[in-house]
Amino acid sequence: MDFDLSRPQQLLQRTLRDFFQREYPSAAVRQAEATELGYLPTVYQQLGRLGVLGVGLSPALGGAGGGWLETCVLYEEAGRALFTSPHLPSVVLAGRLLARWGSAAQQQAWLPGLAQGTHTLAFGWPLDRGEAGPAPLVAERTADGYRVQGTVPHVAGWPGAAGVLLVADLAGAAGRQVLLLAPPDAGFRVTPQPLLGGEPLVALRCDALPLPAEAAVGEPRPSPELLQPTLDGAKVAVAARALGIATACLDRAVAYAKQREQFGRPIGSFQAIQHRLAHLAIQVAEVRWLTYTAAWALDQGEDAHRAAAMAKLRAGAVARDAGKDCILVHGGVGFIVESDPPLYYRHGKPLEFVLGPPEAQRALIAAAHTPFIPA
Amino acid sequence: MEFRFTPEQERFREEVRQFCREHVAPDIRQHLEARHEEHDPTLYRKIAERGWIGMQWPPEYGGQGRSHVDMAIFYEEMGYARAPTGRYTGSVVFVGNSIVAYGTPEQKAYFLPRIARGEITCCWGLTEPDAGSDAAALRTRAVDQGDYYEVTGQKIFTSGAHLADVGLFAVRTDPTRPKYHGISLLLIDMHSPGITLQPLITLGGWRVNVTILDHVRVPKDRLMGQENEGWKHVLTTLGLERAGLAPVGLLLRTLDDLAAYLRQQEAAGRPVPREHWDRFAELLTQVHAARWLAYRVAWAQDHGLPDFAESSLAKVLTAELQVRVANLVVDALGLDGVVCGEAAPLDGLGEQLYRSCLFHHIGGGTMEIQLNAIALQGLGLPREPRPARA
Repeated sequence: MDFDLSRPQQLLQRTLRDFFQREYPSAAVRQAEATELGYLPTVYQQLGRLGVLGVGLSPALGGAGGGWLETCVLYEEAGRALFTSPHLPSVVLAGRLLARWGSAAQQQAWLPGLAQGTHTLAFGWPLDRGEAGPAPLVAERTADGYRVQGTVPHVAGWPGAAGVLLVADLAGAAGRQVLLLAPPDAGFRVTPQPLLGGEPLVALRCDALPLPAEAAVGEPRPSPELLQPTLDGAKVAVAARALGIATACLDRAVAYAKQREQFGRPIGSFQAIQHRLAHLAIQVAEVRWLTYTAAWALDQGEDAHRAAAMAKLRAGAVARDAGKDCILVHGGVGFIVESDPPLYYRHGKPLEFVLGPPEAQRALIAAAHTPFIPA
Repeated sequence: MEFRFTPEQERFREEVRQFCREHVAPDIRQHLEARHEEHDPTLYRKIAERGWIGMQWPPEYGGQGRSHVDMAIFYEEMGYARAPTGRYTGSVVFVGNSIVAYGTPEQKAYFLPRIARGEITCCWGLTEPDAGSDAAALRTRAVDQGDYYEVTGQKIFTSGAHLADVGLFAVRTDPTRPKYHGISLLLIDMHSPGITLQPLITLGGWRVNVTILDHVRVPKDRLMGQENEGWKHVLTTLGLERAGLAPVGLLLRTLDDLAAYLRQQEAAGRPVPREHWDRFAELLTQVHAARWLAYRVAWAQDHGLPDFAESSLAKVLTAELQVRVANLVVDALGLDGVVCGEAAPLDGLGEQLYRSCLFHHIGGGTMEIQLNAIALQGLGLPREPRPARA
């Protein structure tokens, strides 16, 4: 057993923490929120030049190497800084699916740029779905390609994307097809779905959208094989982002409780405050080990379907509660929009639904249960 | 990071698991309602024969030089088998490990091999009627009589005193000194004249004791650690009850038994409310978190890393889970969940857990005391000003 990050992983963590401290104060979070993109491309591309956006993609494909553990280090630090970006749809979801199923030509055309952050992909799949079920789009084969029909709510990474990866069930045939459309703006009716906090989403509707045969990414496949490992990994990455947010909430609340005085002493010396923060510290520790053990299992190629759901379930709830506790420890000032605690509160909550709401994770965990000692 | 157990650890787990299959009766809970303190001498002897009492101690003291992670594996498997571990913990963790930590070479050489062979069992006596969470308020007096101490006072909630041969007692050797000084630790022969035990029965069903010491003579060489500076040793001993010992195995077992029961119900055409499966999934998730946290604490101890109250984090988490799991079992069974005895579903597990679960909120330091430790040592928050001395 080894509960420590490896040296290179620690270096990555240090690099990212320093970078965000320097380049991404809370003013940058607000600045990003004020843009239509919902993120700051210059900062995103700086990270690309640092070589960290390509974690989890093989260097042979233009990535930075490493696996889900490294991805979690990136996501934890980004969460701590409330750094918004299209990385989840562009690299973790679309990038990994291209790396797994795409042709060499598609990989060469897209992956180096995704890893450098010079261009991004949207992921045409409802962001609040973490299990493969019926796809929201249906593709009908035509003489020279496909005709795609349907509506995808909650699509991530759309603003500014150079293309979109669509997932469609094949009409009249078994299997599911991944399709790549670039540039993405033809033939969709786009409804913006800005969020309480974090990157804005859109709903995409297409009516008999024609796509050429070359849009296909790999062959049609059964849904679980095609998507599930990527969705499970993405769940763990999101859990790591939630962990980063919760950790920041704890750190900031503790720092404030040490410094803020009432009744002639720091409020952190009152047990009412101490116990609230101690409970939060327990919750953060729960999320840390559920997340990193799940990431490790994914990297080992073990079945981490249940572990990913557990990490995601607990992380979402804890990020939500940590945001609340951070505000409450700050008192009145924590409820004012110019202060930082509301940022964590707003950015944490949506993560509960990303890649499946709590009820979906709970159903999966209960259904997948096997006894600790097999009968 | 690496979350795989080594092949040696896996082998050890399998060995303990096989041992439990052979020597822990599947219905042990019905016979020993009081899992925490009821003692099964036959089982205890078998554990000793395997060399697992004091497994962490060096071979010259009868141990196997095993790691904290091994110890956590042992507790997990024993907990899953519902084997009683109360006297094991009292003898090995509270007293044996304390002797390792601050006993004299003679004390180590005399006591540890005897504990390891299962010849003597031990108990820990700290709490007094007026010194609970404020343990340093203890008043049991030890008067220096030249070549022995004479001990008079009263301890309470002494787990396993009626089963123990030796007790490690915190006593006041110098009442003129300030509260946190003047305390010493003595190893007291529980068969000494002047010791009277009165049973107290817990809500969980097992016995603890009022331990009355009336002019009990304790030889000077039974002083443990530094005279009058025993408070620091008390803190060491309390710290030994670390989270590797958190009863995660028992939690896993209870949830497994509950899941099997719920699936039986569904198979018999009796639908299980979605809410029960939802709570099951939430609790199973947190039990897995507690499990990793417990191994993390054990691993950190094996690597000599400082403990920033992580053991308290694990302890509070598992204690809360005990209560919530007990409540789920009862709620899932409905009124049958509070029916007593073997006629009830799951052989009365619900009713029994509901009575026993609060033990973990109190024993070894209340939740509030653990939360204080997390806040002060873990988060570095400022101490609450102590009230001025009266």
